[in-house]
Amino acid sequence: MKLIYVLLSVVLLGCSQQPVETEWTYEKSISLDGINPIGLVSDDDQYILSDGDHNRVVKVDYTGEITQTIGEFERPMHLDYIKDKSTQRLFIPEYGKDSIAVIEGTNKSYLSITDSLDAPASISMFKDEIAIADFYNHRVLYFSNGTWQSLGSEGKKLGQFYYPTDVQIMKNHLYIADAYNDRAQVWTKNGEPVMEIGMNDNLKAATGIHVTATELFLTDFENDRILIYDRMGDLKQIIEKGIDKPTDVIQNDDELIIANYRKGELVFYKKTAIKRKQ
Amino acid sequence: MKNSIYILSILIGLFAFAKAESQNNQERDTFEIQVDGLGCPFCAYGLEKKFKEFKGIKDVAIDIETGDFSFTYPAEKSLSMQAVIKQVEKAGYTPNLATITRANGDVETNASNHNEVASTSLQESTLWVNGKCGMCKARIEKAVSNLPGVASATWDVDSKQLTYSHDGSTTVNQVEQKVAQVGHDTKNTKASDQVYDQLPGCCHYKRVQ
Repeated sequence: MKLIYVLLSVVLLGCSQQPVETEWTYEKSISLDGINPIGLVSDDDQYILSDGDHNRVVKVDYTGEITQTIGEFERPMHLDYIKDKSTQRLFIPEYGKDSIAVIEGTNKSYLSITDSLDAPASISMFKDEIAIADFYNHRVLYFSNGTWQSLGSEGKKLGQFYYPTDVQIMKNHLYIADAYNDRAQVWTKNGEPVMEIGMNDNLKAATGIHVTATELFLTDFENDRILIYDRMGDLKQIIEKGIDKPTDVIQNDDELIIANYRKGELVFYKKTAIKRKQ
Repeated sequence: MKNSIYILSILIGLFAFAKAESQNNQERDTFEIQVDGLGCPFCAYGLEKKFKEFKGIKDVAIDIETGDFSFTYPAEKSLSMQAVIKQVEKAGYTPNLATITRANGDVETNASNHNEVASTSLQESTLWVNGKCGMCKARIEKAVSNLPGVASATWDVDSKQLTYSHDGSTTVNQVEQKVAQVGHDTKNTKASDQVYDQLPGCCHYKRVQ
């Protein structure tokens, strides 16, 4: 009988301490010998990195060892990678060449763009849509329904950009790292700016953005931080441990991976449940 | 025999061409510029990209940590200091000290003759100046150092304090006016919106109302 009481107490205590939310906690850093990563995408259990300083794109394993050099490119930037049963295509903005390289198997081609780019810093693919952060033109080029639109102009107001460096297309919106306005912007696919994020968070050079179903991650390059927001733009968490001049961030299941540009590292954070007493 | 003469002539021709090419390659001017504000790779590669407009540029090296930027250029094109400075500014950055070492050994620099200030009567003053980055630092220090009677000026990015040593002939108000002219607010003097807006992106500090 006593045992039943004990078990019941444990069960009740457990029920009163339900995990109600999660946070990201530092897990480890791995060194990338001779790589200064800018763009980062995952490929199964490996990572594809653009190494801007060395004009190349490489694939590394979980220890940071280079397993493949994908090719030489002129200052490659934020990448995108499409992988399904029929296709494996890697999209590489060549900042120094004003073009977007497409690697499919051993073939290299270039994306056909009707407008001219001046230092493309990022590309995002979503179904038949394409978005490119066009750094020196202070705009985002967005392709949908067979036509290109130029979004934004140079400036500081909502709807204007100052050196955009990263972009991601989601189901309903585009998310843009408006680097030297120190914020992120959210646009509709009709070309309407609807939200700015991070305006009060003292960011210095928001160079990379990554968006999931529930969170938005923004790299704070000069301050060595990643700021984590919910999809409404409310700040949830700031992570700093191990982060040094971050340029890109991705989430892979319950793991967050950050590219440290200057030190040449990948930093891993783990999603952890927070238990709160009621 | 005839074939041998032909082959020998071709070889001599090729050798002469290679020698001339080698000499041409050696006749390059070397440019070294200290640039402020190259905090991120996007900035550094952007500077490099804008200089690619100078056809024939080679040996480009940029150190993001120090802002040291160097390259070589064919001597025969006589690329001027003014053109180099203008191109750095066009890329959105502020050039500090620039040195050209010409292929013939001549050295040119943009360093201005610094104020001659008597070191016996120097005093030190501090002033809060708004700014944000290393590029702001270079701009503020350069502007204040060039004022008459100012021997040196140092601005700290974190505290935003400007410390300058001077002989007393320049007033605080003149110092404030000078930094406002180059885009930086002080407690008493605000830069015009137009000048502020023209600052490079990384220099857009938060203005205090």
